[in-house]
Amino acid sequence: MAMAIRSLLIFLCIQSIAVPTFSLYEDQAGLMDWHQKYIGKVKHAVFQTQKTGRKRVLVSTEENVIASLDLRHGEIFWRHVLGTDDAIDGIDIAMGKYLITLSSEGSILRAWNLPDGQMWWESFLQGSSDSKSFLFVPTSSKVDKDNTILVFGKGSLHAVSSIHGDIVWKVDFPDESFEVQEVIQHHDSNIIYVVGFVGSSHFDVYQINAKNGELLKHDSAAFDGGFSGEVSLVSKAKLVVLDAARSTLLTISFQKGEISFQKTYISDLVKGFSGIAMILPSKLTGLFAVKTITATTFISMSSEGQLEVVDKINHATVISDALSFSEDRQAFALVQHGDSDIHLNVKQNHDWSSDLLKERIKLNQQRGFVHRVFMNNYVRTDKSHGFRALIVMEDHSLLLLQQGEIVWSREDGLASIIGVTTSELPVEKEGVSVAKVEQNLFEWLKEHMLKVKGALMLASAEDLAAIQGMGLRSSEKSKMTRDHNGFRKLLIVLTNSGKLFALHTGDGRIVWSLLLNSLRQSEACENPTGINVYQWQVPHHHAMDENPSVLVVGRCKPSSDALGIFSFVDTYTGKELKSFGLDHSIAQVIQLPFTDSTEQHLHLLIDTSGQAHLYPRTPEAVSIFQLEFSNIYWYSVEADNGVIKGHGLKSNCDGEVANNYCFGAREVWSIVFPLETEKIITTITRKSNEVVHTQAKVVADQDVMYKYISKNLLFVATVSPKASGDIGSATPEESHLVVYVVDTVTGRILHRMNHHGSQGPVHAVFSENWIVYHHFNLRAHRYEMTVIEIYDQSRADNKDVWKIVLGKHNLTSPMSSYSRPGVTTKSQSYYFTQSVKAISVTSTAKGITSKHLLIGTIGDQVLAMDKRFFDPRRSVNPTQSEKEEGILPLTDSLPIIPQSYVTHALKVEGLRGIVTVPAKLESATLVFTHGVDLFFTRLAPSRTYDSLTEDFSYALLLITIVALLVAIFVTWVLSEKKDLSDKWR
Amino acid sequence: MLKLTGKLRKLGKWHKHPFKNLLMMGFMMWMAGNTVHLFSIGITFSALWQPIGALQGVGKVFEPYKDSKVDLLVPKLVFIALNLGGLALGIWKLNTLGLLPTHASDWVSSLPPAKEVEYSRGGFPLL
Repeated sequence: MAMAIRSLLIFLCIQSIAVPTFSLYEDQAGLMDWHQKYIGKVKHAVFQTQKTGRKRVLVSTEENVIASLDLRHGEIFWRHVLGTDDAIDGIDIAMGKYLITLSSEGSILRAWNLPDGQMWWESFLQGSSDSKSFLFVPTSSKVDKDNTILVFGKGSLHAVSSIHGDIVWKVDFPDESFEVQEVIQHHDSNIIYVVGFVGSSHFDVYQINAKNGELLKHDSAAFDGGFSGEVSLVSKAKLVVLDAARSTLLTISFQKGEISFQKTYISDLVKGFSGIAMILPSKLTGLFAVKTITATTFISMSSEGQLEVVDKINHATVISDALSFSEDRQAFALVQHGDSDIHLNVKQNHDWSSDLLKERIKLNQQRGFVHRVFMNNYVRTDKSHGFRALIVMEDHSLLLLQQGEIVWSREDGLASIIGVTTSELPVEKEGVSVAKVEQNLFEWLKEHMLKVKGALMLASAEDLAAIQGMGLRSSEKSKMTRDHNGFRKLLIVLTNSGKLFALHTGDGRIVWSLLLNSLRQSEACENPTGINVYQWQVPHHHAMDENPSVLVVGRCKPSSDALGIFSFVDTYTGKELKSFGLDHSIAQVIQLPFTDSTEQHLHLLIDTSGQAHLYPRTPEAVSIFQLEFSNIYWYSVEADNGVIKGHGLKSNCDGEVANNYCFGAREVWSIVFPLETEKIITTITRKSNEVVHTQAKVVADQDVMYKYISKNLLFVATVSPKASGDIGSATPEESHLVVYVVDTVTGRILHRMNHHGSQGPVHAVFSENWIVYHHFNLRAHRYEMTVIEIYDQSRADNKDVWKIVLGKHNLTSPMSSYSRPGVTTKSQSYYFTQSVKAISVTSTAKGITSKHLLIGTIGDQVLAMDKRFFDPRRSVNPTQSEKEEGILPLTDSLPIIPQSYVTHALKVEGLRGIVTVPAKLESATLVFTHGVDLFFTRLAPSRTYDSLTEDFSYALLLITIVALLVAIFVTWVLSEKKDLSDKWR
Repeated sequence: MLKLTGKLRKLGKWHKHPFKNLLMMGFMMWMAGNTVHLFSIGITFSALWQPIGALQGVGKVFEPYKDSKVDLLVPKLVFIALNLGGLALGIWKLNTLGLLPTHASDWVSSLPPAKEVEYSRGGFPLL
């Protein structure tokens, strides 16, 4: 029997070699997959609306993206994703045709062509010290001026020609610790003022010739009280800054060759002021804003330097930079929060009392507070001035407001996903109305007739387009109910902003979204961050009528000892069920393989002091937990100390937080890596929900090998400390990569291998009994991928047929790590041409289907590779029986077949993670890839052997059957007639 | 007497019939080869089915010759033996095709992995 199946499989395999498994036809793109483009939270925005033509806004984001967006619809015209360590410091438009970006802490300056986003030039700015960085593009009224851009970065001021990016001049400031705060150049003036602090109490002004960079004058003055941070330039020659105690405003005038300070206590201006204040960064003239704990106060400054409070706003407020919209008229936008709406006011700089614009905009969706606002003006048909505002919300979404309405919005929070899980959709209710079916019957027939036409190659180009269109907007795939094959699910994703989204796997639309209140700033939690999202309750047996829910785990501060936060969200309704703060920190979240009577998963949370806390906090959970108490272990990896420690549990924990749900830890084992020679860089373990179909592997000649399948294995990769940097920073002699496979119950090392002359970064994937990892071989100057397979030696003797038939074997008896099972490992390495960002593996419902590795490449694509390429039993000349088994001849490098990119022509910019979810149909696996972009597809690693394809034409089948029946009938009638005539003869 | 010998001769033919069948089957099996495909499976199964069918109808075959004067035991036994031989040939063919579960691999290939007693998880501290 096995032979037959094997032969069938070989046949399939041969087929799959001939045709790459994942390749699609052009018209199949978009049928099973969807792709969404995002940019991330906007940091800077510049509008390009002067010229007639398409109006755009150019933005840079915290995901290091620069993009040009259509101002009418919010679509992306063009977009560039800079590297992860190439953060953008500033953007501006130069000469009306280039977008200038300054990135990498002021060391890289680039110009991009505005219409198409092509890079025009790139300049590297050198400097001695790290410092703040500024981009300053002078707005010159004379077009024929030499168009220099002023850049402050790396401790020096550069003037760069905006035409070709050459550095015209460079000024190094004599004082090393000079921290530039502002660069000021007035209209058509040849003098540039550079102001900043030296140390904490010296204020310095440099005057520089704009033509040649000559240092004209240097003034310095000391102030005893010291300065703190933010500076607001209020007029041409006046700055406002806070003193070190943040309780006194200092007005500094500097232009007339002398520097004078003027002190104003905030408590004199603002009644009831206490604590510390902050100057809101803005570029308004004659006005600045001071934020205190209770309110935002707007203070105007007269030309004599007199300070006066103009307004005090108690709500959260955000202001934009000043925008000059006509001859010497400047305006700025002020956004305040109401209960369910936001108030947008546009005010003129000198006139607080009147508003140029006052709008209330309803926000029907939870988006939190406004974080940033950018303003732009336009001229209406009646020559009056109109204003539009681009606002960035707390959930990182981007909204364009115009005429009291939201013109468009973008959910750019989805560019920074930190956690993914899935949820089933509701079961379809009985009693689908007949009318609906009847209504669709005609369309159904039409659809299938078209498909028949397509199948018989009779379809015209229009018909073909119609067929393709049908597939794309098939309502079947985006229904809100569970389907038979398990293709329709909800992807629950947690973003960096603390917003939870539910995406439909059918078309990627947002089903619901929720800005979690518990992950927002509050008095209890200063700066909460989300950690991950876990499945909490998955009803399928006992609690069928309850909705599934997910658990969102966060912490109060982004430091490991901060207190944890729990939030439970119903995945059908998208409502927060409950949330609470924990009384301990979170170092690990361990999902236990037990559920209580309401199908809630038991979770064990380990805090930083090594104590375990059980959730849900019910007596039932404790009683379930107590049953398995002695068999539960956990381990911690301390990369800094080079130690991996295994822990068991003690019945109660020490310290004051003792309760029934808290358990202490006892150290069971530890593995210490010598810090001088080895540094832990990667650990990986099997997915806890992975299903394995069988423990036996049938090899050539009907021999059998038993896989060592254990969830308690850990793959550890260490490199020599010298080789822990970038590739090329160490010589092959001083770098080595050591990999271990560790049993995490006993701490036993099952396998150890040293790759001399190799180094990280190591990306690895662990599934069933094998590990595949990717590393760099310095000697060969190539990337390598290595596979380790682990086999159980203690079961290898089970080869007697009669014993197995009669059940006299130890194959199904429970396995304990303490029995020290003997294992053997096999390993093999191959060259691989690409560098890798992530590796994952397909997972199916029962684990029968063969596996494919999903490799996120450096080009932000996902490559699917058959696991058979990573088989340590490959040899150069496989025997006939090995060939029959499906073993490929050994090659020194792995082939990359262009058709096996699952992302086909698309890119998942900034790829970070690949998540695979099994569908109910055994042959299918769902793949979700996230980065700045999102990509989802469905794969069938061994093809859809268990179902008909979606484009299977039932109508064609029906027609064939009918035609056959008719033919049978006709021939029968004819033969009857013939018989009759024969008899008459 | 003449009648009896005629019957016996006919009986002899019945002996020959399964024997011829056996040879025929053997030839067909040899032709079918040792790989699993539709033809070889068909041949093998017909080789198995024919003797079984014949053995089931062994009473009917000898019905016409039922006579108190003729001892039918020996021909019957020969008939059964020949058909069993055919059956054996079929099973042998089945085995050469690898369709008989005679190896350990045939019995364990869908054996689920053993349950683990311990459970251990963990990793780097969450950041």
